Parts: sequence; C-alpha cells; structure tokens
Amino acid sequence: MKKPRILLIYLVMAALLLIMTEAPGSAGSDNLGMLSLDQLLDVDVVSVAKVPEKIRNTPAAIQVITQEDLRRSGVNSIPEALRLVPGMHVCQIDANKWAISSRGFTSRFSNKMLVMIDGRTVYTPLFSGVFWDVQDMMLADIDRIEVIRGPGGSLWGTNAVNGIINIISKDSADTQGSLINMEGGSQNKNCVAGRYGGWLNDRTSYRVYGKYFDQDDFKPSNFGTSHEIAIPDKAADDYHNTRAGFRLDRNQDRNNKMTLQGDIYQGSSGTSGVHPHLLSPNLFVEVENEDVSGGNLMGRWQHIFSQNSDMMVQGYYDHTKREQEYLHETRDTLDFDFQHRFTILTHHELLWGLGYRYSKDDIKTYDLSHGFYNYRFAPDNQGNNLYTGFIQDRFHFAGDRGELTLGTKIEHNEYTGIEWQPSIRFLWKFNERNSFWAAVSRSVRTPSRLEHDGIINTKPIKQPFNPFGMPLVPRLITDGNLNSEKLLSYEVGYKSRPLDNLYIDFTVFYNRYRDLAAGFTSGTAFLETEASIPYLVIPTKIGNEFNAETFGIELSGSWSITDWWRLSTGLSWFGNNFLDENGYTDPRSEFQENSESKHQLSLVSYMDLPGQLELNCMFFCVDDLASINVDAYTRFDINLAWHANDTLTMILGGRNLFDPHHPEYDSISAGIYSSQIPRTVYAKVSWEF
Amino acid sequence: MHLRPHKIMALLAIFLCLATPLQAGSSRSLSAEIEAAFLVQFSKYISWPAHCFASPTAPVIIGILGRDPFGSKIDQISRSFNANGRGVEVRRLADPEHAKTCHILFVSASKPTTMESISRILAGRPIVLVSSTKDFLARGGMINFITLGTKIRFDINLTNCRHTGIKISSKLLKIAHRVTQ
Repeated sequence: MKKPRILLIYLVMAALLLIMTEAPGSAGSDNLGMLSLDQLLDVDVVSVAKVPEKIRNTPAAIQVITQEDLRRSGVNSIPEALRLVPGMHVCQIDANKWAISSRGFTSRFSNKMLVMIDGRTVYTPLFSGVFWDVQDMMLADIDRIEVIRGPGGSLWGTNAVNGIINIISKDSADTQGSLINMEGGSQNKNCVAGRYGGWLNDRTSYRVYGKYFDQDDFKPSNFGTSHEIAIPDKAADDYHNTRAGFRLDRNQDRNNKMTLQGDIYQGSSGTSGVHPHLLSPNLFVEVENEDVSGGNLMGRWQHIFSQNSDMMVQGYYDHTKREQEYLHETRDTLDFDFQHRFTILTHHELLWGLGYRYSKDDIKTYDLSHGFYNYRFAPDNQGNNLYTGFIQDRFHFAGDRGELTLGTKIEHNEYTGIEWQPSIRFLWKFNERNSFWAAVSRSVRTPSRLEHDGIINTKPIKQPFNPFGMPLVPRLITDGNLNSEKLLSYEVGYKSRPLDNLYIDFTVFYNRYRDLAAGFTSGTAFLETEASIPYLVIPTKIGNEFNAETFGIELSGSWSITDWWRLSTGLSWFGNNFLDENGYTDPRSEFQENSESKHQLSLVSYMDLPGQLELNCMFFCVDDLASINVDAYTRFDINLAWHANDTLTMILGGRNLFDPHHPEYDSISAGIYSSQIPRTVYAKVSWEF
Repeated sequence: MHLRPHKIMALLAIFLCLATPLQAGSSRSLSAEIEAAFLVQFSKYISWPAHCFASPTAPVIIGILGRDPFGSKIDQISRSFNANGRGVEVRRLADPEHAKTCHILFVSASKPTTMESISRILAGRPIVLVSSTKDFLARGGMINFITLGTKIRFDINLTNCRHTGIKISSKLLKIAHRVTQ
C-alpha cells in the first residue's frame, strides 16, 4: 500500500505548485494611469492583491489596512481594526476604552502615538492620548488606515514618537449611491448606518452619512482583588453614540481640487471609575456615565502648479466635550496647514510646510467626597498656540537605486519652547524586488496639560507604611519646568518580494528615550485641612526623571497563495530597560518593564469560496503583561460572508471564539476598572443600491 | 469512513484545483478602473475638428452620463495625462443636453434616458459615445467595452462616426477587438 500514498503526495505537491505558479503577475492596479494603451490590454480584471508600490519603497515600518481588510476582518470599530497591524499592541480595557501603542509605553493614554483622521489630529492635549470611543465613522467610507511604527516627528511633529496612525476616508466620488449596514448579535454592538452619495453638478460629488450604535455591558475583570477592592457586580461600560457627517469634493479643473467635510456626534460612554478615598480601603469604584459630544469642519485645497510642483492648504475647526463624573473638559481647536512639494535639480524632491494650531480648553473639576479631590487644574482654562514648520529633501542617486531623505520639523509650543525633530532616512533598492532601509530620527513628546498644570491626589498610602494617625496622600504637582520627553531612534529594515505573490517586511529597532516624565517625592509632608477629614500631603514632583531603552524585531508577511486565498502574518518581539542614570531606584521601573507584551503573533486568512462566499479568519496570540497580572491570551475571529447579489451581502461571524472571556489590560491605577473581553457572535447585512 | 491524513491532503488538493477558477471579489471595481484608464487613453488616439476646442491647448472633455462607475480614479488618471499637448477634464452629467460640449461621452449602464434619445440629441456632433452596455454599437454608439476572459477589450463602430468629423487613429483600430466599417 506504499505506492498510492506516494502518488498522493506527488499529486498534492503538483497541485500546490500549479497554484503557486498560476498566480497571475499582471501589472498592479495602483498605477493603471501610467500604463500605455498596449499595456492596458494585458491587465487582468482578476489580479492578486498586491502590496502597493508606496509601501515597498518607503524607508519606514509602514503598514496599510485597506478597505478590503476592514470589510473582511469583520471588525466594527477603528481601534479593533488596528489589531490587523503587525507589531501594534491593542488592548481593549472595557467596552469603550482601549490602550493602543506600538514599540512600548502602552496605556489608556498611550502618549507617544499620534492619531489623525483626514489630517485632523485626534490626540488630546489634556492627557496626551486618544479617546477611542469617539473616533468613529462609517467603516465602509474609510479608504485606508496607514500605520507607521516608529518616529515620524520630522514630518508629523511632536508626539509622533512611537508611531502615527492616519485614517483616510474615501473621496466622495467613490461613495456613490446608497449603502445601509446593520449589525447585531450577542454581547455585541448593535449598529445601523446609512450613507448616500451623489453628484451636485458635473464636477462636485458629495456624500452624507448617519450612524448609530449601542453596546451592552461586558463582565468586570477580577483585577480588583490585587488592588484590594471588591469586584463590582457589573462593568457598567455600556455605551452608545449617534453621528452624522458629510463630505464634498470638487474637481474645479485638472489643477485644482477642493474638499469640504464635517461630522457631529453625541453619545454616552459608561465607566466603572476607580478613585482615591481618604478612608480605607482608600479606593472606591463607582458606576459613571461620560457624556461625550463634538464636531468638526474641515476644508482643503490641493493645487497643481506643474508636474513637478504642487501644494495643499487645509484648515479645520474641531470641538469636543467630555463630561466625566469629576472632570469636565471642553476643547476648541483651530488648525491651519500648508504644504508645498517641488522638484529641483531633477533628483531632489523638496517638501516644506507651515502650520499653526490654537487649542483652547475649559476644565471643570469636582470634589470626590469629604471635600477631597482627585484632579485640579491651575489655571482651569487655557488657550495655547503652536507654530510649526518643516522641510524635507528627498534625493535619488545611483540611477534611482538609492534614496536619501533628510528633514526636520521645528515647532514652538508654550510649554517647552522650541523643539527640533530631525531625521535621516536611507533606502537602497537592490532590484525591483528587494530593498533595504535605515533611519535615525529624533522625536519629542511635549508635556500634557495635566502634567503641566495638574494637581493630582493619588491613592492614600496604607498601613503599615503610614505611621501617622491620618491619611497620607501623595500629591503630584509640577513646577512648570517639565521638559519634553526625547527619543533617539535607530531602525533598519528589509522589504522583499521573493515571488510575485509573496511579500515580506522585516524591521529591527533600537530606541533610546531621555527625560521620561515621572513623579518623585520632594519636600516635606504638610497638613491639608481643606477636606472634612484632615490629611497629610506628600508633595510629589513630576520631573524628567527616567531614561529608557527599548528594542525589538517586527516581521510581517503576506502571501497570495492563489487569486482566491490570501494569508498574512505578523510576528513581533519587544524588550525594554528602564535606566536609573540619575541615581534613582524606583520600583516603577521594573513595573514598567513588565507591563508590555514581549511577543505577539497574528495570522489572517481571506478565502473566496464557491457560491459567492468568503471565509475570513483571524488568529492572534498576545504574551502576558506580568506586572499588571494580565495573562497571555489567544483570540480567534471568523466570519462567513455571502454576496447574495451585486447589492446584498450577509455576514455571520464570531469574535474571540476560543475563550468565553478574558481581560486584556488592567487600568485600575489609571482610574478605570477593566472588563473582560467576551466571546461574541454576530450577524451583519450590507445593502448597496 | 476513516479519514487518514493523506486522504485529507488529497481532498484538499482536489478542492484547491476545483476552486481555482473562481473570480476574486474585487474584480468588478478593477474592471471599472481599467475602463477608466482606457477612456483617458482614447483622448490621445482620436482627433476632433479644430472648432471643437476653444484654443490649441484647451482640454479634451470626458463626460460621464448617468451613475459614475469610475469614482475618483478617473480624476486621478486624467490629472497627469497629456493628450497631444492637451489636458483631460472629467465631468459628470445627468442630462444629455449638457453633453454637447464633451469630446468623449461615457454612457453609464444606469443612464437618465434611453440610448435612442441620447443619440437623437447628440446626432451629428463630434462626440465619441462610449459604453460598456450590451448592443451599444447597434444603437448609435461608437466604442463598446467588452470583457473577454479576464481582459477588457473594446469594439468600434466606424459607421456611427461618419459625418461627425471624428477621426479614430489606426493604432486604436488595430487593437480593437472588432471594427464595424
């Protein structure tokens, strides 16, 4: 019986070979406009999804989530979509909060990641971070999400230290007609969204959309035990949001394009808030609702002077309001940007720009109990000016095989004055398929409003560390001299396309951080009698006390096995050391070192099946976060989509199927009682007409 | 039935072979993109009487009548295109009456009115009528996109170009799938 088996093995190998060689190697669709008439005749309407030229030839660790990824992965929010990026650490804290970062420093307010939607920054200066619960849109209207791991300060400015997330919506000419999406399921987001697009006249296209969703409570995590507080009965993290918006695109003539877009939203995000208390157990958990609302209006003008020169001017106004139980923030932002690109001396492409931003806030804080407070701001309203300028020269040499990019951003902010963020990037194309890149960059993070002007009472110190007969409260405060955190980053990468249908991206980085902000005890304790229970204050100053080094390897690959099956994978390893070069030994350094996931693995499969069916799977393995008691977990998502006809698609799916529930992040020390991420099943209908 | 690993492998192999000729999900939008690229290229291989242009550098105007299948892609392609010293401008139209200043008119599958009334309104004008709908050439059209296997091709009807002043280059006629004289 040996022979038939050998025959079978040959058959299998032959079949696989056939499939691998059959994948068509036609011209990619990203540059159809560059093809001649004869070349167009050879383009296949069925072509293997290719990695765009832009990604292959950018000297940075860039990854793109396409509209196809968004649709096929079955994700239902922007933060969840970021799980698809290899090397990105996405932790869901509760139903409406996430901790997202790349290359370390992950927390609810991952202060070293810059996030932008159509060129509008959504990074809040209050805490330095992103409120992910209100960063939403109709997912079908997103063109792509570009993610750069690593510093981008020389182009994007301060706070683009560990990465940049750019969410780019579709041109309204590409969202014509009606679309209705509905989703519902167990423990799940129930969502209904609609969009309509049309042409106002022969050059102006538009779309309008509306979206509503609500989501039930998750289950509370067990983290309370390690913080000596009772586990609450319910997570109270249900949330809902309603939003509407529009986009208008006008092709004035072939050299002028105008865009006007805007959104408004209103909703409520539930929270189990954890706050310090003067009486034992010194922390209390409370069910809270954060009322959130906001809106923005943006205009953009792109003008082409000639083939070698173009410019862009944009301006936006953004309003956000968030009313937490003890902290209300209203913020108005006005921003103008100008960019000009031109080519000189044939090999040099120069890009320069100017920017101005005015951000004004109004903060109200409320006492917790007994006249004791958590946060206060002095002053409680403030307007800040930010002036920026940047210049970058990209030049080609050795017959376009080599490329060197030199650039710097110069900013002036009101907290730390002038900041420089230079970078140098080198790209070498060995051939059409293989390229190597290296970069050295400096980036900075400027202090947040809280770090600069906040007064923070933290959890009172417990017995037996407290020998006094009254509560002992560490109080964080700055003297206004806090400097920015600085990063010097070294990266090398290799991008390869060994086969037409296989793409591999490999990056190694070493980051050195200086002047990381942290609190340290300074001065002697004093008695505070403002509250009805008197307490002793330990003055704790926020200073630039820490240095750190981080290093890691990121590997990703995508393989179009056939024109109906595509696999992609990501593998990352991360390490860090907090250095006490100033002579401090702080237990927090070890805590920090172990609060990051050291290893991550992702595997994504998209398959087209007979009968207009698609089967999509995603598998993630995330290492433990030892110092915050989060165990390693695996997550498996799957969905089956049926394209009933040209207009109707039905999807059945499940998320986190391997596990009834698991926590991904403990945020109690940051004031949030975390939830467990549940197993969910859902159904979705999409109707386009 | 007992399924041994090699049987599973064999089944998998057969399944893989069977499933290979399936169409990928995104083929519809890619066809439109290729058609958009062709449409812009046509402006280079067709000549119009001089009076159709306000000046020697005035752009070739491509109109899209009815629902636009191309989206922003055609705007991007046309922006950098050079048609023998002229640029290319794309306009979306809801009414064939407004198509009179166009040089090329793409008639979408979902158009505001019948093909008969479109050809009546535009009869005798130097406007190249293009479409990807069936039997377009029999109803007065000049260029018709067709899908042959996995490639986009086009047929040309020269009879309908007669007495309009439109000249289609030999290059375009050579690569056309069928030419009706």
